[in-house]
Amino acid sequence: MHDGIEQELLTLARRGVDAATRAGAHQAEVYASAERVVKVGFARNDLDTVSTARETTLGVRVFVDGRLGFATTNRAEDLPALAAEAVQLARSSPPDPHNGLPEPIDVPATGNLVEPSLLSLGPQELARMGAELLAMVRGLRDPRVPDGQVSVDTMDLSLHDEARAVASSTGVAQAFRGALASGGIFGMALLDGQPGSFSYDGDVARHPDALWPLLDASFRRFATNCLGALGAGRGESFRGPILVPAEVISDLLVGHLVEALSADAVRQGTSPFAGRVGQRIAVPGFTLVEGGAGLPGHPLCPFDREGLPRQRIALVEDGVLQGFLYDSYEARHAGVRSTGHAGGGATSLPTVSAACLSLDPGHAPLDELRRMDRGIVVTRFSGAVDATSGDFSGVVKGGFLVERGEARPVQETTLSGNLWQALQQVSGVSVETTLLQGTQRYPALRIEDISVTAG
Amino acid sequence: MSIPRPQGPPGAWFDQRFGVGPELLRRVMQAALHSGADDCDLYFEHAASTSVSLSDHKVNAASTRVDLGMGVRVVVGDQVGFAFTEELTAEAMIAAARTAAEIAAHGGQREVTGPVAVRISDWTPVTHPWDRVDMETRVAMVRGWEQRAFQRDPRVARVETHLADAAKVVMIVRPDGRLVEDWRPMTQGYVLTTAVDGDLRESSSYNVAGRAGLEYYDEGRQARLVDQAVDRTVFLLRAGKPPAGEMPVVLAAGPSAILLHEAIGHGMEADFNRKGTSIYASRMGQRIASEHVTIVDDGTIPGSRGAVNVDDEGNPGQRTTLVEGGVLRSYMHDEISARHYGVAPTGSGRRQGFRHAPLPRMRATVMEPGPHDPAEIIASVKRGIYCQTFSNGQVHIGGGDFAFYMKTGFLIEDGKLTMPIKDVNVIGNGPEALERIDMVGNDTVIDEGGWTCGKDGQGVPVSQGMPTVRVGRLNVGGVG
Repeated sequence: MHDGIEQELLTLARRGVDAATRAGAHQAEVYASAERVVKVGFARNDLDTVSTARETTLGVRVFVDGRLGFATTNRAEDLPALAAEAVQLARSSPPDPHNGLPEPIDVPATGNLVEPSLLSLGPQELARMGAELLAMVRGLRDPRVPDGQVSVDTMDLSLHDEARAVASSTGVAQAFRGALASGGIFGMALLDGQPGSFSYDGDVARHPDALWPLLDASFRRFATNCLGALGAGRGESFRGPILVPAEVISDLLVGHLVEALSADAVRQGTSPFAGRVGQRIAVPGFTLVEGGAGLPGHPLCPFDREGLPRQRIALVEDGVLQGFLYDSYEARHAGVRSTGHAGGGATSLPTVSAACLSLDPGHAPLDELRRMDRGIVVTRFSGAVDATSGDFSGVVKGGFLVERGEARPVQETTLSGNLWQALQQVSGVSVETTLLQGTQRYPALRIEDISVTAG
Repeated sequence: MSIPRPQGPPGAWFDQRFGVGPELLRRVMQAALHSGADDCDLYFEHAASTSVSLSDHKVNAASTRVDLGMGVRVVVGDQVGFAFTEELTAEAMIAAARTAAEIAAHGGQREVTGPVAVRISDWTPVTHPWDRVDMETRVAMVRGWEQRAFQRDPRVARVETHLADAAKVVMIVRPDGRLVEDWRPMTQGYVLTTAVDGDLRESSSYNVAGRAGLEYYDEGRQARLVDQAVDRTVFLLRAGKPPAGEMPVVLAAGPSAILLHEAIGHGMEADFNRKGTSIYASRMGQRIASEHVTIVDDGTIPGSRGAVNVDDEGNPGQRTTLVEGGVLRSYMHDEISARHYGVAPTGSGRRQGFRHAPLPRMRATVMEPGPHDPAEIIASVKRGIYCQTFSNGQVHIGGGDFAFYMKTGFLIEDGKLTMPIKDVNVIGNGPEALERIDMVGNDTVIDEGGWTCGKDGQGVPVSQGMPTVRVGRLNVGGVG
């Protein structure tokens, strides 16, 4: 993509707003995005796919008498016709008094996030880097099982160059361009032809020099998990502590908590935290922050799907609930201001979502937290959570049973309990934190009194 | 916006609207094969969809989506070069073709033959296409569903309804000259209800989907869509959890087939076998299930969500017998795996759209009826569970280990369905579970719900069906 593409998208978005207004929209917004992706994929330890993609998407949101219509296309030529169709859709829809577009709010000028040398990463260089990482991972060994070797199911490296713009009839006008490179790896280790539990890892970088060290660390973590899961034995059934490393925090806990702290869940009556701002919902020391326009040192696009500034919000501070995440619809409904947490892209309507999250570190070294009399280290969790009640049950894949401080891999172990009670049962937060995908930073948590059933 | 059924000869849709005619196709194909390759295909797609959603009586969205583009795939051995463009100009398409060809620097030679239109069967009998349905009709339908849901049970506190329809025209061109054009309609109706009784709050949903027009929503189907959503939700208010442990599990006819798809079907997709990651990789011709078990993957069920007139590599939709009387007979093949195994493609090469390269995928995966009466199957279990519906699951395709979340079911005690149960993990291994199926009902039901199968980041519409079956033992993650 060429320099200035985000400004061209903004011009296009403004033209779409004009077209929708001419077609009869009382309010109109166009969100435009353009993306270039270069990707190399490896499968079963060999180069499998090289692909490139370039696409543009446009989303038109209009309101007529508080009635919503939405249309999306990947053809700029279609924009006037689509804007008119969105108006038609709106006229057929029932009205909602809370519908509407937000008034503009100043967005801090952080500029684009494009490192020019990253943009020159081509398929050949990504393929070469991938082949070296693959060889590195395949060469790693665990002294406990020296004959075990990692087998990579799929691995990919890619470059994403993205521009976005949003304009509206209320005066919102924002444009941004950012690029990042990423890598992911998925597979398991084999011992005498027998597979262990599978694992996944990956990371992202905005500078080419950072890509190798980040992927090297991520893929080593993947290999350690795969090899560590070999030779798993039968576990035990008990009630006791689990150690949840940073990589699993989102799947097991924070992802569900943030869902329940979204204003739409509060409005729909599915959040157990409605009306509890100012109350203690977790142990002291538990501080969950939505980082707004990026975690420290890891900036993101400074505006949300509606062109409003993404704000940093402490959701839970020292165990006390501070507030919820809002987009403009939910804010209007609740009679507050949007926190800039409208998520989504050109092909979908805005919905409340978090862009980046962190949990504050604690004071306990990770090694100390792992020294349990009897407990489970959760390396991957696959299960279901009822976000309303907090009841969860699921399977730990490739987990470890720790007894008197000694860890051994165990076959599938089922965990069950209640997440919202678990927030009050956190007995330790590690001093170490891990940054994941540039958008999440978590310590490890030890949580007491979870029901553990051997598989 | 809706895309009507094309009236012109194959190839006319893209030629007349976007200027993509035979000469341009030949030039793009030549660019894709300029370094030589074993195979190549050009895939064009013009798609449009409309959806209407209603919740809380008022919060709603009516939306439409239009998508146009083409993808070029170049194959050398097992390796794939792929690129797509949204601009159907000669310059953009030839640039995409040359990018895709980068992988083929040392490939073989392949002659390019001018495109020749091929006619195909049609498994999508639409009588009332969506391009002739106005927005008011759609809105009235979702409002009617909402109203019926609130009326069905006083405990219903919240309702979400959703109606979507889509259609696409695709054109596939291959180096041997084949040019295929296909029209692919689809619709889905969805109702989610939340019921409250004292402190208890439960949600559940039901949906129906098929390659059909408005005629699909006859009175009976619309009533069933709503009533099933409500009945499943209020069922949860009185359901408990079964005891945990290993026990016989009876899978109900119809919705349980998601297990068949996830835990067994994926292992029979040829790419997992070609790469050696499936447990079925070396089992062709061997017994892998009891003699009562026959499984087909069928792209020819009229109106089915998984029906394919032609797959996304230009091969006709067909019915593939995967397991016959317990013996593994065939994998599902795309062109790459068919060449690898030296067999004919099974019409299973599918892709989400022009942004993706095709892979071997399922269509409608169905276990054929067996010899047993479903009542006899339930009566045979002293203590176990009867699984009616599932909400989600996790499966490791290679080894086949799965954990499925059973949403609704019953405890079976002394051959009778007793306590209603909900929300338990059923954990096992697909191939082992298949081996342990010891009774197969004579009541195969094809699930009318819409499922989208995800694989390698691509979603494709699928369907599945099965009769009531008994699995000798599976792990149930209940209470204690």
